Amino acid sequence: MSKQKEDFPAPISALQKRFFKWVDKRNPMAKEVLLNRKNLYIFPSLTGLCLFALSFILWLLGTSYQNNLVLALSYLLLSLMIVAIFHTYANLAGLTIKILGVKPVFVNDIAHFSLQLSGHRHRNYENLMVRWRQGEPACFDLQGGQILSVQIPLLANKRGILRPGKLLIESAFPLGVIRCWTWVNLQTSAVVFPQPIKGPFPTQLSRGETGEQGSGGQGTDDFDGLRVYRAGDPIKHIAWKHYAREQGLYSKQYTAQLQRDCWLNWDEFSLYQGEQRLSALCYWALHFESIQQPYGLSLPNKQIKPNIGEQHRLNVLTSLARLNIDGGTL
Amino acid sequence: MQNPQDIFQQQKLIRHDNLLWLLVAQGVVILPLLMQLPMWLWVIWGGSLYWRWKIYAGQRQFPGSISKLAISIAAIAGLLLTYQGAFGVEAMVGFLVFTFIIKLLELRSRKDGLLIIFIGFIAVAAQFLFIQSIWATLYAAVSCMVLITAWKTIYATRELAVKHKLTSGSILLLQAIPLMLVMFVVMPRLGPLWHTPLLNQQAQTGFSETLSPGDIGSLVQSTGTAFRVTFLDDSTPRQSELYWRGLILENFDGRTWTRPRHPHFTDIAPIAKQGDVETVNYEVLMEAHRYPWLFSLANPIKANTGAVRSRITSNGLLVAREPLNTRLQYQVASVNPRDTLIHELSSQQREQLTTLPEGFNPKAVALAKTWRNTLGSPDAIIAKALAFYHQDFYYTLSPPLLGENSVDDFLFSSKQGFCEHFASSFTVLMRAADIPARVVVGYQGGRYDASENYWSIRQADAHAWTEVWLTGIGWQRVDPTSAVAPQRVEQGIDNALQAADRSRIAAGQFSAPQWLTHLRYRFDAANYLWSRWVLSYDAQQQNQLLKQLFGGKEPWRVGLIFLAIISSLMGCYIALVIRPKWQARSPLQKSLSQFDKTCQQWKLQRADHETLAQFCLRLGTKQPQLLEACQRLGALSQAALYDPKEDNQQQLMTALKRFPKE
Repeated sequence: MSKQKEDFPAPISALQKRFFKWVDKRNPMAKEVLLNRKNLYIFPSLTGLCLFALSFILWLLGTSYQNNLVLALSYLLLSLMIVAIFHTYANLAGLTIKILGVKPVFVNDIAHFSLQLSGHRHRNYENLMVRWRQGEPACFDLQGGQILSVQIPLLANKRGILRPGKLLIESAFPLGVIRCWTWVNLQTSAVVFPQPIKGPFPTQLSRGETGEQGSGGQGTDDFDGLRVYRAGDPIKHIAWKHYAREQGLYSKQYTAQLQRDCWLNWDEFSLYQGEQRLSALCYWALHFESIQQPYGLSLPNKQIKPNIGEQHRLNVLTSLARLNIDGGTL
Repeated sequence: MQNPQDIFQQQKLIRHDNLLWLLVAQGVVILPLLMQLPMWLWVIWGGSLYWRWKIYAGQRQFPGSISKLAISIAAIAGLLLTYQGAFGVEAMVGFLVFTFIIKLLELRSRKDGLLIIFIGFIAVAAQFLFIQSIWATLYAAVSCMVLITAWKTIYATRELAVKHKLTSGSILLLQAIPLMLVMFVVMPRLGPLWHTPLLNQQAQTGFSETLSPGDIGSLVQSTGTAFRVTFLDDSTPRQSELYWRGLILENFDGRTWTRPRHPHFTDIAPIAKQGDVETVNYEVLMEAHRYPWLFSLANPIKANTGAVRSRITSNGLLVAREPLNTRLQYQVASVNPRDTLIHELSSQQREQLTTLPEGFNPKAVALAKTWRNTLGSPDAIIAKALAFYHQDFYYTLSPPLLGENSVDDFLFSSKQGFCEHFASSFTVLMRAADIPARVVVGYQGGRYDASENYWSIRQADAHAWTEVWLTGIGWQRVDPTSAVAPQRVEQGIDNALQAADRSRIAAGQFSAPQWLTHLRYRFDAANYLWSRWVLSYDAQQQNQLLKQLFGGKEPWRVGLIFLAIISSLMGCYIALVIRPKWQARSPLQKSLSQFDKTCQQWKLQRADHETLAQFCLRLGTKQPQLLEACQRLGALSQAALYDPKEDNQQQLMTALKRFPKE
């Protein structure tokens, strides 16, 4: 994946900036956009210019040979181009784009934004190309009455909140000589977790004396008793025998587990700088999750009590993603 | 992650099922061109198709650059050999077709597909350089439809039924055609921009510069139309008066008549005598015959040949500066020869017009001399000669072969001949009798089509006759054939010949069943209209048409009128489609949408499912300065909904309209 497409020479990018300013004024942020003549732009493509040239060549040929039929053919090509304007416009008009959502991703992963496309019941929408301003294109067809869910990829290159910017929808169907497109401002954003980078765990442990947590990790030292199952308790700690006897769902409690609740403390990870600190925290959070070790998170602005499970993990990672290193949240 | 469709999309490759469309489109387009080009191009086409098929089946690779270069060099060498270095249109079209074919071997991306389509359109245009008939145009329309369909399939990303594709392609074409017609009619026409190379392979048709016995006999056997004529006046000359003069032949070598090598162009065109003379005005649509001479009735005094330069010679012939390579439409005004000033013949001209080659045709010369001695006056000699023909001569398309003294053989032994035999021998007799005489070739008569009011003059109407100089009168036409077969002149050639000969003229078209002949006449009329209104539509006709339609041809006028047409069409659209929708909304809906617009300024949009009251609550919390207005609006909306007093609705609408703006 490259960050292509936007490196135009200065005058063009300046023009583009003005164009986008104009587009923004016309199309405010929205969750759902209906394409119509207010937000569709249309212009001949490069192929269209070639067709223009071809028509001119035929005109020259027809004029020099005083051949009316060749002239008529030349005019036919021009007319085709004009007719194509309407066909190309009709191929996009009436399309509705609705943002469905996006799953959080790690830095340098690809965020897939889910969109829902729908259109008129009796109209087909052919050869649609959809991409974020800085993303890779995806192509679709939409047949009459169909409601299509599509995923538009965008590289998440920075931790935090990824706002994808403008969405380009374009099509040159049917003849490729006219390009019809729109830039829509969709109200959506993806949470981008820090990239997990392995590094040593800070030594002044707040989680008990025994050293390496990676090696042991079962956390099954001494059976302590049962307690009622709470969502998020590890599955392997469930007292299946009790469950089988239909006595209810219990979790086994272990002394070690209770004692060794550990904290990922922002202040203790001081040997890392900036984003690296978050990356390390992220790595350890994922690690504890994978070994079923309850863990808590302590950030300058937020504390999450030790726990384990999918919801907890999401909480922790989102908090990491949203942390503004300079204070506050993103 | 990527499905196959995406791969085709992103690599911009052509889907396999669409490849076939391109191949078919190419085949349809080049077929008529291949007929005009050397045979070996067929072989190259077949080979390329086979190779491309193998690539498609995965059994061969795309050709490397070396093999492509080798094929190209071989083909260029082939073209050079075929055309012997004569770089006319055919060679260029041949090269175009070759590159078109060879492009098949590179066809994989969308760009290549587009190139195929674009060259395809050029190939359709090239086809028009060779043939411009109605059939060719219909074929070209089909080619365009296939090309557009193939073009559209390049951009289609899913598989569609053939019928669906074809209909959508035809729809595009049909929608483009009206616009094309408008452009065709109003776009300004220019004359040729530069001298263009000619098509060199096409044969000359019609008369050549010489006339030997049997020449016209073979010409009348060919089919085809020489030209078509419309008389612009109310009265038309009778068929027997329609002598279309093309060439005057003055030199005779005993067998063959030729044009004077150095024509004595005093170049004073015939001038009408002072006073009112009656002119015959007519318009001729001449098919391209690749000779410079144009046909007209005697004597043309005014001619308008449009972009082609022409002049009227002192002989009363209309001649173009250059051979006629395209169809030409021209108007001529002719006057009765008697109404033109008589130029006296100089003694040199007189001498030239009465010479005969020494030693040839002694019997004929002797006969003429006796006539001259006994009869004296030219009129009497002419009458005598015609009576001589009338006795026992026989008009036939298949006369016996003549010996060295062709005139003697014809006059005294075979006595069977076609018009050139009569014209030639009559001229010889006149010259021998010291009357200046010359042979004129052209066409006589024609077929009148009442439905479209034109005369169709076919090659079968080719004819030869004589003109003699009579002192005090000038040149006078004498047609010896009419002395033998008066039907030839009065009813046309198909009525003058015996059945066996009839089946030979115009390749047997005259002995075809009647319904077929009728059909052929209808088609000829269609061709005439086609040629006259479409193929010959030029700046002059455009002026006339625009003047008729719009009262002028100035660009601003045409532009203004089209602007008016387009705006009235848009007006109709607004009145019939948009306005009803707009009017269908209730006043409350209108004020609501106005309110929604106002709210866009406050950076908040009412969702479809949101009631007005809910939205007012939301807006009020977001924009505290609007809180009061919001609360009022919310209350009003509830009141309008649950307290159905007219007054409440009115109040709500005013409140919606007067909602504070930013």
